[in-house]
Amino acid sequence: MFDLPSTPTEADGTGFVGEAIACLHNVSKIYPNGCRGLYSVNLQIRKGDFLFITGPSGAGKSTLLKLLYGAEAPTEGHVEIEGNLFHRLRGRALAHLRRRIGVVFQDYQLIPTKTVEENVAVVLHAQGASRAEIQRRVGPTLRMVGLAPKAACFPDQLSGGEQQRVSIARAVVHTPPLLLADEPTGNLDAHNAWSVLQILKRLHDLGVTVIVTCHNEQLVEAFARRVVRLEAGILRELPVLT
Amino acid sequence: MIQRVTTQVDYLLREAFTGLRRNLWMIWSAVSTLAVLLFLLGLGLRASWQLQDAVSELGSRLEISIYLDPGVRAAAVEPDLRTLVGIDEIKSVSKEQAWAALKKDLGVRSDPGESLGGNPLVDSLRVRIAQPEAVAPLAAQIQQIEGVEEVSYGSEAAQRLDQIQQAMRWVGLALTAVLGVATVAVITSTIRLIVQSRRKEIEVMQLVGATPLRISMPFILEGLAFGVAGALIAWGLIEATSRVVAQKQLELLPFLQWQPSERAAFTLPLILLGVGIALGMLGSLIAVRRAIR
Repeated sequence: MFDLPSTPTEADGTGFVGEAIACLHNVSKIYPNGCRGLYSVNLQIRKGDFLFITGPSGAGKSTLLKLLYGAEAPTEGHVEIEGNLFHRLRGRALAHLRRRIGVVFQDYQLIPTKTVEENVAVVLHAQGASRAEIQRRVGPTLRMVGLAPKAACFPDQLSGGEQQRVSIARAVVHTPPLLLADEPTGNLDAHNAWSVLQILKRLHDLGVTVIVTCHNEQLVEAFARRVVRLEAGILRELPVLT
Repeated sequence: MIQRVTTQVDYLLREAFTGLRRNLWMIWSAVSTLAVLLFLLGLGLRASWQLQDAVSELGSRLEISIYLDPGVRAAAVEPDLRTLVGIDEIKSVSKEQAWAALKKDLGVRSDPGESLGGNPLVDSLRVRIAQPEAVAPLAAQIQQIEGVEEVSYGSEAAQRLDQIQQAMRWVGLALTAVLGVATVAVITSTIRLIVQSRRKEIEVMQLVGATPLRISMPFILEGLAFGVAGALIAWGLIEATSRVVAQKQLELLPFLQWQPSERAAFTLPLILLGVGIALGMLGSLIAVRRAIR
């Protein structure tokens, strides 16, 4: 079911060589209360990348992801996704671009009145998929994250790790080429955190470009990927971990 | 294509129904406010129509009585009357006929004319007018005809009724406008509460690529449902009230024979439904537009 763009084959020192899927050009973000989120950030993410954004709490990691999925607008600079400038898009065009992005939220953002299956199907409903298409996609996605037996459960009947996996299932059920995960391991124990990263790795292997924020440096080191570090809103590229 | 449309309709109806089911109390406040507005609007319209029918009825019964100069015969004036526009029927009463009728009314057998020096009456004509508003101008025209001594008509009652009806129309419109604004405000608040209770869902929908139209449609359908429900309740209340009033009128004022207007049976439910749906959808639109901005 994951009929995604083919994985780039050529590698260089910092990851895969290829077409950029997301770019931040001189992006600064200052909130209305004067709080500085990001300062003059330049970042290029290429198709097929698996990028970790690390840094302490409050460094601007979530802000960077919010800019990438258009929940926040930059104060300066611009954000580009697949060649589209986010700030120029409104209404339907913005909605259609967001369909190209899957988002895993730190606090899961599941709808408490819907079952696991319905929470995952929300994305497909939102995009106007038919009932048959929804049935065709939801089952395999839940199996991929190991939650098929809990399809009829409500979020409050699940553990934190399971809720996070529902969130991942919802983010990828429509097979977006770009997946953003905001601290997907933040609230989980070591075992659950590792299994969540394994799911993200599997998606990456299928061709999805993955961007993950994570403040657990040990986890990042153990995963050996391209890493950038944010500190007080300033971005620094770290050597690729091998 | 058909499958896509049915999928969309199925989804929208399910979402709208879920929203309605989850917020019954909030919805009741909006529907009852709307029903009260439509009830008052309906009653006002119905009363106005009834009054309008009464004016027409009264108008159609109106006659202008024309009394001629002594010595002038009705047949001499009748051709002049026929040239006037707006006259339905002309009936002439000769002074002999009038004298005979008067004697019959008074129960006099002997001829009082002898003591009065002959028949003291004059020829007269009774003219029936189609439109009540034509009575006064026609009476003025008739007065100008040679041989006419006096013209009398009883259109004052009709004119009063017409004035009352006009006043009722304006008061009704003003009342509907004020209550309409209040109703839209109540519906907007209700839908906003519903939107608020589903804020998380809306946020998620926005972030996963739902178009603004797709997010707002279930709420607009909910507003439409408010309108339909409010109109049905109002229509039921108006029918019940009309029956009670008709029953009481039969008991207390049996001589008044007011027929229910045909417009009340067909046009009124359509007007109530139209106004209800328009206000319901407008309230929803205002509420949801702010939420998904």
